[in-house]
Amino acid sequence: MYDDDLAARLARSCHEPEAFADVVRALSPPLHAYLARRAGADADDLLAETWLRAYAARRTYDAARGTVRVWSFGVARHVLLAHWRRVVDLPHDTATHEETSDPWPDVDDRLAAAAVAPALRAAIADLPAVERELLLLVAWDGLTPTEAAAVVGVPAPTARTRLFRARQRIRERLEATAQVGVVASDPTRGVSS
Amino acid sequence: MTDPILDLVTDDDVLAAYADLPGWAGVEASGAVRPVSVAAVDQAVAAVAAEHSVDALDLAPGAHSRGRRRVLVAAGLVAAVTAAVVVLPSALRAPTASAEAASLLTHAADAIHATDPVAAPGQWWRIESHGTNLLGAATADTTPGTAVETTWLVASSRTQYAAVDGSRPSVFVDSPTRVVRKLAGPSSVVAPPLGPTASTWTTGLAPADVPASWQSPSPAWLAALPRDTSALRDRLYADSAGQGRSVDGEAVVYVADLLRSGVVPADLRAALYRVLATVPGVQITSSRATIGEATGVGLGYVETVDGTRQEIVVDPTDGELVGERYVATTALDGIPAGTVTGSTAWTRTLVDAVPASVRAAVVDQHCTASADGGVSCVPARK
Repeated sequence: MYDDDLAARLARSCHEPEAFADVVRALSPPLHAYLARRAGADADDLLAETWLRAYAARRTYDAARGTVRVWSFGVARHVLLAHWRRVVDLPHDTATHEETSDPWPDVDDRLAAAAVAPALRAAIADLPAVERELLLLVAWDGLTPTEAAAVVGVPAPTARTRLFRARQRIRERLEATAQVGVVASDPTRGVSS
Repeated sequence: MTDPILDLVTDDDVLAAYADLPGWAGVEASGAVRPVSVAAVDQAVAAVAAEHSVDALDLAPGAHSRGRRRVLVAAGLVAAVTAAVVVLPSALRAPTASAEAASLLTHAADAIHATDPVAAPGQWWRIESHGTNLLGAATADTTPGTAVETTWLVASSRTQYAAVDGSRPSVFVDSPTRVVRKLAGPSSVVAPPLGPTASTWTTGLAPADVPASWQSPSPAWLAALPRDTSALRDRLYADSAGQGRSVDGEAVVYVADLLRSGVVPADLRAALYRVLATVPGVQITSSRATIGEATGVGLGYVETVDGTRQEIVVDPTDGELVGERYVATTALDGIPAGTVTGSTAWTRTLVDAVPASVRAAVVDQHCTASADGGVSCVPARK
């Protein structure tokens, strides 16, 4: 279904709730993938939660601020953040999750499993959380920088600027690693950029 | 972030720059996940469908954000309680509802025409319920002394045969309980094993043989309750005093407990609705509330202690309880605001006998009643 079509369904669902099911079916594949990449096995439950929130908020959708798809990603992001806050509360997870807004170790596991080079992983790890989030929305979820900006809630030019700078920092980091000739097997964190 | 040059950068420029970053294809490839299952999409569609009926109820999230801790849903099972009798004269309790709202409520209560079919003493009420409930588990975690609350929404059904004259034990036919979805809690916690099989059972005790209460009424006890609004209200507050989370909230809980028994005569139901209209905080949630296939007048009360709204739905044509619903109006223990935490649809019909197939399957739990109304059972082993 195209975006205009989805916007029409969403508008109709305000007085005809059954129409919302079409929106759910059309956008669940990308939303579930988004959630599965970041929360693994919890994705099914988080998907239902996302749609419940979206359903409750369907009257607040504003086409001027982005497509229905982008709007639904924004809702999913809030559900995911709440989920991480719950996860962070777990004692066995506090050690690694304290100062990040995303579960970076889980994300890094995904990169490691796909054999992404340690130096690149370390470079991504060192990005500010918002830049990493923008970067992954583009790399994993196939959003444009403008769409990723709307999901995260920053102006599009800002997102493009930050993505450009993030790319520069990653590049410099990779070049430095190549010159030293060391493969960082244990990526250090906290290098300020 | 106001670099004049970078402000001219387009989306395509950014994407092109990343495309030639060494290793970028690997980053993109690491996002591969298994496609969403049909079941997961169906679950999301069903969850939204369950919200439709709540939609009309005008939720006010965030209205009660303090002092709440735990969802305690009494639907279905109610622990036997011993009430300390403390008489609270109604004149001492300042009503908080506006005069206009109160008159609207009274009007709604008066407009409920409670009637009963003519029942012979030897007949049975067949009381059927289909509903969802919270199932909670506090899981001890690796840090001593801490516990994580995990909550599921579970669905179950029950058919009860209750003797019209209260002289014979009720027979219950329970369906297996199934998990609808997890509402809150860590993903690592799996739902505890739920009774896999249906069961047909009886306590072996006739209502007339157990000390009666709002939770376990007998025909004689029901007949003796006052029908006068003020007298019934005083009795309700006296019996529920000291229980539950709040004085008015517990009065609502007691009325719902009694209505749920399915054996309250029409004149008493009408009186109970008039009493509810006087309870501060009780509101008409909808003139056309829908639970399951039934529609009726919704009367709700938001428990300020935890933000749970308890709602009963009454068919205005005969005054029957057709449904109950619980909604978290504020986020609670990880359950988002607006979540339906329990909902039950009730139907009641009159039958001449308990079906032979049910009678053949019934298991006597061998229960005994104590003087305070408590019932303890020793299920037969062999």
